[in-house]
Amino acid sequence: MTSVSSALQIDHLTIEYTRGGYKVRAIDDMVLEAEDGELALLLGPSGCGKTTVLSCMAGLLTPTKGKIRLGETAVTELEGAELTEFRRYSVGIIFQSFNLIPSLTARENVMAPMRLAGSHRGNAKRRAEQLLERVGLTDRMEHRPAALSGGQQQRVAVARALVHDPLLIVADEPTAHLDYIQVEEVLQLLREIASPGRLVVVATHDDRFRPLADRVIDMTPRAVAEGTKEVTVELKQGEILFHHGDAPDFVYVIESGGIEAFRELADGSEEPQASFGPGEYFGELGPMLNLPRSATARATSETVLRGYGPQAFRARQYTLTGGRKQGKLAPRP
Amino acid sequence: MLTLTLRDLQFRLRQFSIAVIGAALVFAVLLILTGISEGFNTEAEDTVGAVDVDAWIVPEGVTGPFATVSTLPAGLAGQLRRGEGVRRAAPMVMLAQKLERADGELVQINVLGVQPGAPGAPTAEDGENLMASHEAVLDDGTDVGVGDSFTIGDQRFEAVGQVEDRTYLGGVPVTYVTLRDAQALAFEGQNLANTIVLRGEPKRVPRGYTSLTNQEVVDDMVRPLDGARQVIDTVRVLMWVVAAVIIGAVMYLSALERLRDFAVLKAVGGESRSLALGLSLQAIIAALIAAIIASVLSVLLRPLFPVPVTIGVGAYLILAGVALVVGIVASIAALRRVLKVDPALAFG
Repeated sequence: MTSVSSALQIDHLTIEYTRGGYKVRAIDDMVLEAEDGELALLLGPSGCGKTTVLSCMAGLLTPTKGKIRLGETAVTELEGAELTEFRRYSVGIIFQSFNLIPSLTARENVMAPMRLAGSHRGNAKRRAEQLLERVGLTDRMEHRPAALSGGQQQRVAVARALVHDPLLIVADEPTAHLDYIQVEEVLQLLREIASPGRLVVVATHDDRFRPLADRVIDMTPRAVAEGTKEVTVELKQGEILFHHGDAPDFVYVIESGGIEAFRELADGSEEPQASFGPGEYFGELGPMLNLPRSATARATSETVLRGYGPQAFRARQYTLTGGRKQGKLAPRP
Repeated sequence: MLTLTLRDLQFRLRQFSIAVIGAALVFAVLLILTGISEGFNTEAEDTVGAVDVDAWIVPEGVTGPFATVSTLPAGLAGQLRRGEGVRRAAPMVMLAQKLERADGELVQINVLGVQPGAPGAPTAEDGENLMASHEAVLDDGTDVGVGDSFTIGDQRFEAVGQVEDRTYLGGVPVTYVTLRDAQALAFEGQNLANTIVLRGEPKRVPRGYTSLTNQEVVDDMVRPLDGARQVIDTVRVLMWVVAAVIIGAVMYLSALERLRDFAVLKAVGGESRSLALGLSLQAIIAALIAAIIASVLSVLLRPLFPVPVTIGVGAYLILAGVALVVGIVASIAALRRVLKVDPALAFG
């Protein structure tokens, strides 16, 4: 019998979607590789796109660009029945809020994916009992989720994810709703199930996972520019300085000319946000808080800007006039 | 899928019960309305059947003796009796009247004047048969017991016998009196009748008259109730809609509560089709249980209605079939919602 590899390869993955009428780029040109049997960690704060990447890996979301390959399967090329088959047999999902079906017992929850796939009731029952035994819930099989602790519910969810013995297990913030004792149980379990023939990818903001992981993919957005760096940028009229959704680099101060900020809407139109003239600065929140750009900046005429890394900008901020709002910088010393 | 469906019904028992009880009450009223509509026919058939004749002779152009006022000479019976194919012939008089009981209560009745012992004369189920003038045999719906006295118009009668299920025009009870007494009430004693009833098959009918079958007489008898039946039919359609809305609303709310569950089930490989099937199944189960409860309720409620309510086996079978359709229709809105659920919502 030949073993199937669960190696994961993500090439230049870009995911965009529309929210509140705006086009949002959740993931921009992501590249990732993980080997068969590893426990890989997608580490980063809320909103950095971890769950979005998991959804794509699990075949629940189609990326805007890029490719995902799991072993021999080109996940991003699957459609219709093949995609359902992939979701059903190749991926197990562990959700943040457990997402067990409240009306079913622990055993029935684990049986559900098998029964939905058309497995015989007896086989599904045997497999569910075997897995619940493995996660230490032999005496809780007949309990409904409401009668189980958070840790027990998450263990049922792990058993459910394992039911088809999938190549890939994706877990979204699996310890988010657990106390420290339960966290330990679940971490141990996830470590155990990452074994040859199965890759486990965990999305979390919980740094405690780090020592257990074979691979850590840090998704925390970083400012592109070094903190102390300063640059001068010259733009022609209509030229774009940065796009809505781009990674942050500098805080810009206009030396001459002008900049208009606008948001790109899903229908291709623009929604004006603000305009800036000589001596005014803009775009400071992105580099300082490591957030993607929230608007696009475009020159309204021939413009010269001075870009400051976050530390360089803060060093000069004491000379600001106009408090914390957009204001004018005093002439450089 | 069946386990999931049944477990969810158990889990949401209170919600489910509200839908079932609401729909059951509507279904019960539907059955009663169907029974009332059907009762109009049944009472006409029973009353015409009790006359036990083969043909009814009326003036040409008249559609029946009960709903149309027309007269013919009572002596025509003798002429008809001599005709080929006729075994027996007797005149009958019918008129709507009010009976005043001994306690002074007025009761709306249908008077049938018959010749004692002749075709059309009743066989009493309690007491004696009609034999002489100023005697009467009454339907038990008049609440006049054997031996009681009562008056119709200015004539006094004594109840000598009682019959059951002899009503027409929506539960109005029949009172049998002698032909002569009925002629006195209707025609000031003239020897007239409204119809001549025959046993046998007349080969020829005298000029100016026509022969009607029992079915034609029944059809004519229920014709005045056509308006009422149309109203009942319209209300019935509305009731089906109400039942579908009750079940549909509960199913839709339940589906909204379970959107995350459906997303999870899709994410773990469940097909939209089988999830939708489970939801439809719930609505169908709700509708069928409601139909069963309604069947029991209709039996309990039937005596409360002053008109004949005839609910045949067919009505119960139709209810089950229509309940099935109501269940499917009721689940459509919920189905559409569930089919649209994005499995990625499970991560939300």
